[in-house]
Amino acid sequence: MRQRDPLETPDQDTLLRVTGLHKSFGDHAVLRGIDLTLRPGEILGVLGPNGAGKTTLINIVATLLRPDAGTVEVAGADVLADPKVVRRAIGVTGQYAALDEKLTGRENLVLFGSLLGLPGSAARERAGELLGAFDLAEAADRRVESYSGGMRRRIDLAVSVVVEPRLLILDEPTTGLDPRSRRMLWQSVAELRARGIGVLLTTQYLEEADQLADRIAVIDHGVVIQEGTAADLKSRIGDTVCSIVPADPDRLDEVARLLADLHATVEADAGRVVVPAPDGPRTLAEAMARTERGGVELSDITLRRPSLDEVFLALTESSLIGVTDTASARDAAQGAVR
Amino acid sequence: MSTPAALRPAPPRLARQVRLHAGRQATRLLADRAALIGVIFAPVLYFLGFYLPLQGAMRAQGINYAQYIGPALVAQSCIFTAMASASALAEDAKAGLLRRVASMPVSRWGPLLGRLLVDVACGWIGAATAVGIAALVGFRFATVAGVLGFALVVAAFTAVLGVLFVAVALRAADPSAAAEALLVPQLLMLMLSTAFIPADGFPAWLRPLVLWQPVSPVLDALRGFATGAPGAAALVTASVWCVVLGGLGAVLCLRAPRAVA
Amino acid sequence: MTGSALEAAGLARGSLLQARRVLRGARRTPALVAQSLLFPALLLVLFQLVLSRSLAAFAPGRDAGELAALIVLVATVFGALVSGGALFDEREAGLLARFATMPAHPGSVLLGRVLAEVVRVLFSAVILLLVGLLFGMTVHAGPLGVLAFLAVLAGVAATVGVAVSTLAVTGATRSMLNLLAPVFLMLMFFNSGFAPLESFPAVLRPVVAYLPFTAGVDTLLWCLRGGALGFRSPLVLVGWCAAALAVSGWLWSTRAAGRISGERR
Repeated sequence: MRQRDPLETPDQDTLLRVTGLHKSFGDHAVLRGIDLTLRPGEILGVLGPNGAGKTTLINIVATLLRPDAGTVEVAGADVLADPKVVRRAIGVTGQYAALDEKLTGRENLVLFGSLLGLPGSAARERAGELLGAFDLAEAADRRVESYSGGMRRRIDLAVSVVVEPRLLILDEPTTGLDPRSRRMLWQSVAELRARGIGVLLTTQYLEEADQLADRIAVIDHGVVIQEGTAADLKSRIGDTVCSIVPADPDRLDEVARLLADLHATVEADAGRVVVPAPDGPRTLAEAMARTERGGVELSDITLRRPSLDEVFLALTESSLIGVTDTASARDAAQGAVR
Repeated sequence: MSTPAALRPAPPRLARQVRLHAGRQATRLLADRAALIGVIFAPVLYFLGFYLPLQGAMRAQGINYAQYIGPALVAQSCIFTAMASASALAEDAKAGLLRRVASMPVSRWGPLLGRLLVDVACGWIGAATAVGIAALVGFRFATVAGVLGFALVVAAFTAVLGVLFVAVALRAADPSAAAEALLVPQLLMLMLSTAFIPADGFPAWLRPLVLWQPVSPVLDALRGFATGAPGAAALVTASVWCVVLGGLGAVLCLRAPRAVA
Repeated sequence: MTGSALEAAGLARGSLLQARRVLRGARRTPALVAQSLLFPALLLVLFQLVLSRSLAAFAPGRDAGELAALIVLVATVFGALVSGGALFDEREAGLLARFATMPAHPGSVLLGRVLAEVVRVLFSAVILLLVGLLFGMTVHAGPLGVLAFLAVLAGVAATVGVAVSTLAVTGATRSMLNLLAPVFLMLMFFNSGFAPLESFPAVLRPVVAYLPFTAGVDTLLWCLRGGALGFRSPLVLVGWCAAALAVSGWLWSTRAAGRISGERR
């Protein structure tokens, strides 16, 4: 009697469900209780600095690592109990283009297609199709080791969808790419989403999460500290900040005090105070006025986009470890800074 | 009347720079256990590999193989040291260290000369090991002066090879691959010399090559010093080769692009 | 076509695909060809030139055969080590991890590599055999002997292939592989192929007689020439291979589970 194939009766609501995920390496606890969900046709961006645990999370969902505690289900199949079923549902592509560099782009596609079960002619046909879709037709018969960075990511992405997965896992897909290649990749990913594929994306770039992701989960020190749409995150800190550098670095705290009600954050090692500037130039004018009234001489004051660090500083001002509920996290954060 | 604060202090003299580089290389070497073990044990391995299997056959031909092969091991150690040196400098080049040094107001010869100092030291250590192990089965120095001469030849040979190999590695498109590729010529040089068997053990058509290539006179010089008195011919030939090879290496280094050496 | 509708490649098909991939890559890496074929051929020629006269005087009746058999064996083992090194690179690059996330049979990566190894070895063995013949090696046995010769080499190649793959997959680093080099070098000298046993000091002769390369050389020559077998060499060779496989198996079962991914943190 044939076993019920979990993929045949897909849970339409949830493509990926992560509950209470824990993972430690020796004494070092990398993931300390992660909860995530992802639906088909949705792109979930996981945002976090290095060391936050993004790659570990990815490896666990990709069945490369075993979790210490918690459950991870892909299309209803558990990664521990049914890894083989999970592998039929996922496609993985990462920072390093994991391809056979000695083979051509076409040969790689045919190889992986065949390994996944496509008969020879179908594999070749599919390879041709993907080479066209990813704009690699010209380089198709050159060895991958001769490809540029952008081309490598595209062929890597093509290989990960040679047999269309239900869940596509992208681990920092545009790190190190030039802006043009980055945009091309985003477009390819958006097209995949349009076909109903769910995408789990990790990134360090706020802009990438902003452009691509439907929802964003911010991870720090192994927990999700903020979750919501890009608009939610931005409303937290806005997409412009005002950076104030006092001439005398010893007066940083004084400046912060003067601007405390504007949710000022001190960046001691950069010697500046950062204030979210939802009103742009008006916030800058206000900051200048206040510091002048307070007799603090400034050596620089600018408006710019926030760095990821600043988003995190704003989000992690208080001890938010363990708080994963979006609304209460936001309230707590706001309350702490005020 | 103060000097502008922006100017950095003048770079130290060459000797000090060389000492600094040498110190860095030595620290690095001491931390690189694989290389250390290589320097100390490579002679041992080659000794075991050649002496033990062949000693019976050689004795039948009337040769005191321990005395004969000692210098060969020493030469091998010098070559090995020079190769490791080229490899390390290639790594430096790859890591951009040489480019950084070149862009600083310090001598561009610093890294190379520093490395050579360390190489000579390694050559001596390897030679000591080689001689030590050969002594266990009968290798002997006849005179103290012989020991000094022996050490001098070791230093010269190691330095010369070091410069040459480094030059080759640096000018190659892929320095680390080139350093590896030096393995084959090295083996050829060593085997087609009087290192392991006397010249008349070779077929007649090979003998001229064996006798005139650079390694053989160096070996003869070493053997000569070990037994007390090297032949003048051997010394002269060895010196000429050292000058030629060393000069070639130096010229190649000079003409290497500044960012590399 | 979605993943659930397809049957992923099983062990047989997967292994063939992997083997084809490895061989294709090897063909396109000239350095690999040079190392596993030209270098041993060069050694054969060098050793023959340097040693033949001295040894012939010492042990008449020795021809180029011993040396050729040794070099073929060395080429096999060394070649397997070198191409196994590529496996370390693949692990580092994440290719192995990618294979691990696919539903294809996990054993196909290893088996495919071993298959490719055997093919490579057979190819270079034939060439090196020809070189040996050029130097006056004598072959008495017929086609059966040659087949047996190749079969022995294939077996050795497969064993080394499995051993190196196990090391790569269970988390050894490339530099650990380099530590094997001196051991290997020693084995290359301490056998009856390099010098006749009588030339070794009497104390060492019994040890050398049972070392793997001696057993290998003896077995190979026996395939090609027939004649008496000293020291039960084929058995000794099988014993060494079995030991290597056993160690690999033990390493695999204790360490492989989490390691194929070659996880980078």
